Amino acid sequence: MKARVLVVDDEAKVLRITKLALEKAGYLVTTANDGVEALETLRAEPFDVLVTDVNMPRMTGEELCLAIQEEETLPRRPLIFVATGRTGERHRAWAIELENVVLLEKPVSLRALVARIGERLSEAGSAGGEA
Amino acid sequence: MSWSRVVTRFRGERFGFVLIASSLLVIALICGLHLDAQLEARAEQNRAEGLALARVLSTIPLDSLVPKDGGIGPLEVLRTSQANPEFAYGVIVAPEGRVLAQVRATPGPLPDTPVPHAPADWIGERTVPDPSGERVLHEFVAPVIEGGRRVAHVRVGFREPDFGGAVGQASFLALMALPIFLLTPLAYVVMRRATRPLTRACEELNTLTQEQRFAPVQLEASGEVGQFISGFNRFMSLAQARVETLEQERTRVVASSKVVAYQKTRIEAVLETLPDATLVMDETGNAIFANAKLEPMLGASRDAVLGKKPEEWCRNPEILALLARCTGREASRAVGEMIEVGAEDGSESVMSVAANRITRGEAGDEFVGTLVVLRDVTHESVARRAHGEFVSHVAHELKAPLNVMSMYGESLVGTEGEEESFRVEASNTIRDEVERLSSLINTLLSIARIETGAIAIERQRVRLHEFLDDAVAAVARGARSREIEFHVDVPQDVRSIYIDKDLFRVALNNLLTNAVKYNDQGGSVTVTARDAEDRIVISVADTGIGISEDDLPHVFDKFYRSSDVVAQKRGGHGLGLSLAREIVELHGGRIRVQTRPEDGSEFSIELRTRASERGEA
Repeated sequence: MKARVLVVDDEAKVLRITKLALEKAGYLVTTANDGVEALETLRAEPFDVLVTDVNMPRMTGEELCLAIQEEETLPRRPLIFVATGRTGERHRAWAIELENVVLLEKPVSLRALVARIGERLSEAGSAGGEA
Repeated sequence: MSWSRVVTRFRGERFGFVLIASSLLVIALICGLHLDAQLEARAEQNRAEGLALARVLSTIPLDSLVPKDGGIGPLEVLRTSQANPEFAYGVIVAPEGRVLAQVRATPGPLPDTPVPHAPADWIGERTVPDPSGERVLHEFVAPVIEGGRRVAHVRVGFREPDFGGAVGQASFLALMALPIFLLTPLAYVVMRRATRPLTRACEELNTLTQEQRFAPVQLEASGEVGQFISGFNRFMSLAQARVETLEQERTRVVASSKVVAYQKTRIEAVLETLPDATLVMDETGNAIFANAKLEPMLGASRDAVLGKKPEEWCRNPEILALLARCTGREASRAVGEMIEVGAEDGSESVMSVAANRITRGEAGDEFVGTLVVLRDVTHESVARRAHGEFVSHVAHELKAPLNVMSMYGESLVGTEGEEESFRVEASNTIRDEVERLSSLINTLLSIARIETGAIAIERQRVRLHEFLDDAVAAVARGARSREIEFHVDVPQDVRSIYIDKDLFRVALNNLLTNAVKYNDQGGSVTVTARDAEDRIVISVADTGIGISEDDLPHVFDKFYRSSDVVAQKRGGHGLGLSLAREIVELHGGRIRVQTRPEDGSEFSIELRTRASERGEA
């Protein structure tokens, strides 16, 4: 069974190329334009992985991650990959405290993203017995 | 005449009185002495006369002395011939005391004195009381010897001489007293003459004292008084010179103290005018100056601070520690130190506190106090934070196109790149992103140049009609796919404007691209120019999605992006309108926006023509 990935970004071009790369790597990919849309999708369907941008209208990536942590009724709690253009402690502090969150610095390498997702899924799979 | 005037008068004339009194005293003394000497001489004369008389009478035989027939005896002769007024009596007594004969100058009893028995006392003088009066009598005795036997005793009495006898001397005394008495006024007149200059000098001195001035006494005088006055005048001119020196000294001191006071006032005025709160402490840490700006900064009034140590008025531990480090001779050798302190009231305000040691001496090692300057650096602090935010924003905005390019680039070398359609898509995307990046960089550079003042606007005369046509044509070319209609409505006779053409093109371009970006497919953009009295108004109106009420106040803020999904989808970096406003304001103009959500927006630029023309001139 293919692992399901939700990609969230307000830039259509990023969504398109990321979806292309992940599908090629064998994942089932769904896209969302911002945090609000993503949260609705997560509530409706179970996802193994969430790849999100930070700076988005309506609900930022940070807010989305926090909402996921607090949401107890999600079908599945996904592994989270956050692509951020900001460096510096201040913009990372929030992510360090959250579990299952990996920070990726822009520009993001799609190959590296695919590799990291594979690693984390196999780790989770060996631990939880599901992949 | 009051008593005090009498006293004053008496004092003025006291020399006269003293002279009269002393002359009278002298006359009295002389008269006394003279009379005394007279009496003495008379007593002596009486004594000699008495003794001689007694002896002469004792040599006369008793029978002759005492005539039996009652005839005139020598005693009677004696009485009648005696001119001496003091003669009292002459008596012949028998040895047993019986009076044999007697004569008296005045009637009355004889003194009852016994006849001397001892032969040693037979001849001599003795003093006996006068039975008729208080005065004593001098009695001279001598024995009458006949046949070797004392047969009788002669007694002759004289009264004590008195002043009555001296009355005859009165004319002589008067004669003697007269010159003395005449000498007195003469002496007085001479004395008055001699002391007159002194009196006048005294009057002049009184006048000078009343007028409170120093001057020599103008008096001609000879002798000691003259010497005294000239000496006094020398002393006076010495004192006057000394007083003048002191006056000059005092004037100089007053002047210099005024200068010092003026300088102090000026320095304090300078410190008062300083834009920062200023406090000066002496070497012991006591505040000796505080300007009015201190109170709002520290919340302690000037009175609460002056003359007190920091511990008494400062509650901020950071400032206290700083002041402790920079106060006192034993404090660190550092020249000064500056810290930033946040407000205690929870507001965002930040102040900087700089404490500098004030030193003196060639080596600057004599510590005399501390200068403390407090400045509100809230603006700087906010600006620093904003600058940090700005840089972070810029980095983020720059990374977004890089991210897309990186992803497409990476995919081109992967299996996706084998498909022709993907290669075309990737190529187009990368070109778009490069343009986006380039435009962002240009915008950032323009903003930086404008904000740092590095840009100098070069105004030139621009024909508005052509300028707007060109700008619209350039934007319209890139917007063909959106099927947007452009209308340019500019009267042919509109005045030319004086602007920096290149800069203004950027501003106008940003308005036009926004008008396209936020427009609907097949919408329209209308550019108009209107010649108002003293200004020209250029407006760019679109028929797009408009701006929400929440976004409206922020559309000109840097990096402000609408939270509206529809607007978000149109992309952009949030700097275009900010730059447009900066450019318009650089030209002294104003940019405004009117909008109706769902109906489109209209941005208007107002340029004052007079200002434009002045700029050209």
